[in-house]
Amino acid sequence: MSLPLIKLENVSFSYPESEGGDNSFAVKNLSLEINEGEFVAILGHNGSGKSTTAKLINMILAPNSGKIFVDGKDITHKDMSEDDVFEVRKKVGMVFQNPDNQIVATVVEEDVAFGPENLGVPSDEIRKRVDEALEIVNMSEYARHAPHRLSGGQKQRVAIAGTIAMKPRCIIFDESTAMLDPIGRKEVMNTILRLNKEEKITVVLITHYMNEAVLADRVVVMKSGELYLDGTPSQVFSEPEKLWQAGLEVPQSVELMHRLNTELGTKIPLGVYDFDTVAELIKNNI
Amino acid sequence: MSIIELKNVSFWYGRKTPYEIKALDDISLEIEENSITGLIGHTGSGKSTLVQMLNGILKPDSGTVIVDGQDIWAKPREIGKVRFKVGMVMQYPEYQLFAETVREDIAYGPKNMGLEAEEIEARVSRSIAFCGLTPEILEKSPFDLSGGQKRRVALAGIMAMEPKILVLDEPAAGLDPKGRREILSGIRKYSEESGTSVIIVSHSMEDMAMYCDRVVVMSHARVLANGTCEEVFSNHKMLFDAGLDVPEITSIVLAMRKAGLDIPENIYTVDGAFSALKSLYGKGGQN
Amino acid sequence: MNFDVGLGQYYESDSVIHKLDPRTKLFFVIVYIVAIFVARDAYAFIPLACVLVFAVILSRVPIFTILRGLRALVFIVLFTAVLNVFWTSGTEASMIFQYTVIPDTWTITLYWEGLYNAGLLAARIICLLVCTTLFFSYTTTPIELTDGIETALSPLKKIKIPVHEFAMMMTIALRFIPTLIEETNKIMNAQKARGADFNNGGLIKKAKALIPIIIPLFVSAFRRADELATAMECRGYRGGNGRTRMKKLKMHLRDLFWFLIPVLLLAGVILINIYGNGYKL
Repeated sequence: MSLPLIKLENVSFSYPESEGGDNSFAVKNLSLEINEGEFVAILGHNGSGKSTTAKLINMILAPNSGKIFVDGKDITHKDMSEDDVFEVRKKVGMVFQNPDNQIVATVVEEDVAFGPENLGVPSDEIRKRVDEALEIVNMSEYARHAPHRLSGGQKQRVAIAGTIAMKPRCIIFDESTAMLDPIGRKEVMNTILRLNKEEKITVVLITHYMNEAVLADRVVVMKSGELYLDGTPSQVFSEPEKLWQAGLEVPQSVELMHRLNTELGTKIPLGVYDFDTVAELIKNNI
Repeated sequence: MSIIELKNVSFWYGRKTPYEIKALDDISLEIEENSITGLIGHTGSGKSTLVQMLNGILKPDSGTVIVDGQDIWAKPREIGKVRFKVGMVMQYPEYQLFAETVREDIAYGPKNMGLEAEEIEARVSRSIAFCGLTPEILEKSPFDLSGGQKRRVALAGIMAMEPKILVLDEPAAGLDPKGRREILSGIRKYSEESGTSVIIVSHSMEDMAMYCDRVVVMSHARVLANGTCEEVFSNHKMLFDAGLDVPEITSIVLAMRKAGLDIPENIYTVDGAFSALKSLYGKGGQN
Repeated sequence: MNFDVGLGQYYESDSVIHKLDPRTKLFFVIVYIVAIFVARDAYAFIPLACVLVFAVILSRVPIFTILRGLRALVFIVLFTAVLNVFWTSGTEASMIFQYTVIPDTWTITLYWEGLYNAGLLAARIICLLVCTTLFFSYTTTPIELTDGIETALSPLKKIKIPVHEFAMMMTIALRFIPTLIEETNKIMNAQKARGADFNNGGLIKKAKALIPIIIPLFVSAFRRADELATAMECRGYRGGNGRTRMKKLKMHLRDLFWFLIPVLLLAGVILINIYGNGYKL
């Protein structure tokens, strides 16, 4: 645990004008460390640079300045070969927003096999990995199904299985719950928690749902390309004014306690609690 | 007054095939005029099917759909006219943009209505103002805009048809909290100023509680409840039984009651909870 | 929301036919089709039909399912048959009946030969359809088929023909057909809601009415392609080199058997053509 799994040092990036960018920085002077085994949620308004950050870590984009280390290796080094890029993608997997646009094959298990096949894993080993991965995301019974018949949450779990089968150390979820209904969202969030707690995979969850971020060990808030807040969910969500300024929200419980504190002069310690604790706190402080 | 009335409407997908699914089961429902009605229910509860009944995209297998006092299927050939009365904003409407400029795209609907050029122009201007856009945007290509702006342009395209009823399927899907608030409060303002009746389909109980006057709950092809936010959200058991949630604040209020606080249970917004706590304990509180 | 594409009529089972190597199936179907077209003697259709019935029984695909699949093509079969009935001429002796529509200009004559021809042609088409649908769609997933074609053609890689890339494109196309059909429907409904009319007006007006559908569909297809490419890259895709497969195609003893059957069948058909004394096409 001495070395962070992912480390960003003063990273800046702007989309070139030719790609619809306006030369302003999408990510500005960002420094961030993510340790092995952590579950980090990255919050931010649309265009805050959170998805860009994910793409930088996975080498889909290259920073204009600054350094990025994955597992101690400088991935911004100019001598990175195609094989080095390959190594990075083996370590850091990614699950995207639209479940339809990341499934390649016409059969669920074939799709899960796609990643390990690209890595050149031997056939028997792929079979084993596919079965395990589908087991972890609870989709074993759908192994032979056609993906387009599945619900959004199920498709997203197939996409997750496809990443797990590559045996990554870290998975980045780039707004992977944004297009799902509440049931699908719950399925995917439970899967993510299980990956982190049981499979010990480092998780970076990019989202704008507060109730997902509170499940993380650590919440990083980005605003206009810069790091804005960084702390435990309780620390971050006890500053509602700052979050509102960043175009975000706080859980309704925090909003209520905050209003009681500012308008009625109560001194409820803000933080993220379950409903009963919130009720107790309000009862004891009012 | 009800602007939409459904009488014993039933609908099947793949009727008389082995894959037959009953999507609407003998539904009778009235939607009030000049109100914002929220429509909630799980995926597969029939709410999307119901919405497509309202502008005649789908035809009921039995029952009648009455919009603004007229049976919309009385003259099946004229079903197109219903679509000018019931404006429909689908999920992720930005994916329907097609024209070279924003102006042309917004004018597409009004043009199909056969309006005069001047009237179309006036409507385009009005609708972009409602959506919080400025006139400079009109000459731009819709494909050069940001995601949030595209969403608003698509919305303006429907508003420019000035329908009596505006139906929106998850209008805030995929937006960040600020964008969500802006678009929903914009719709609320539009409804109040133009007198349009609005139906919003959403999964977010908090948004429903905040922006709607009335709520319709669907489950398993049937309407479970149709009433004011207060009526529906205070019926916790019914919502939980349908596998739905109450707004977070309602859960907290319930926890407070359990902890012995004397707070009414029919609260569904943070404002409501705050006022209740204030009036109960604010003045004569323990400290 | 029941979009079923013909290619996707896979019938789940683990029968011998399902388990055959897709290359074997390709070989079988090709040789079988050749045999069908070589067959000229009526008796030759007996072994052809027998082999097919044998395969259908082994595949455990219900005969009813297969017949239903043929239903859509009944018209084509009937049409060809009817044409043949009236277009074939025979001898005076084989004439069945004659009807004069317009004296001296149009007389319809029906010969026994016509009936035979029609019957044999119908048999040909039915054998062809049953054979290809049974082996290529009911018992083989599209991905197996693509794999089979890719492996069978892999020698062509030596002369720089991008066989893997073509196979990959085919797989992705198959994967996205249902998605794009669904998308087209959604866009059509959305534009209908804005008053689009796809049914009325002349040809030009109708073509124009399609613009609001085609443009969003293209934009969306490009966006999907872009996102899919990124996702594939993230999953380590870099072309066919160094890639392994979960399901390696492996020939078994049973494959040998199914390699021999069509060859013997073809030989038999040729023999019957020469020595048989049935009606000749």
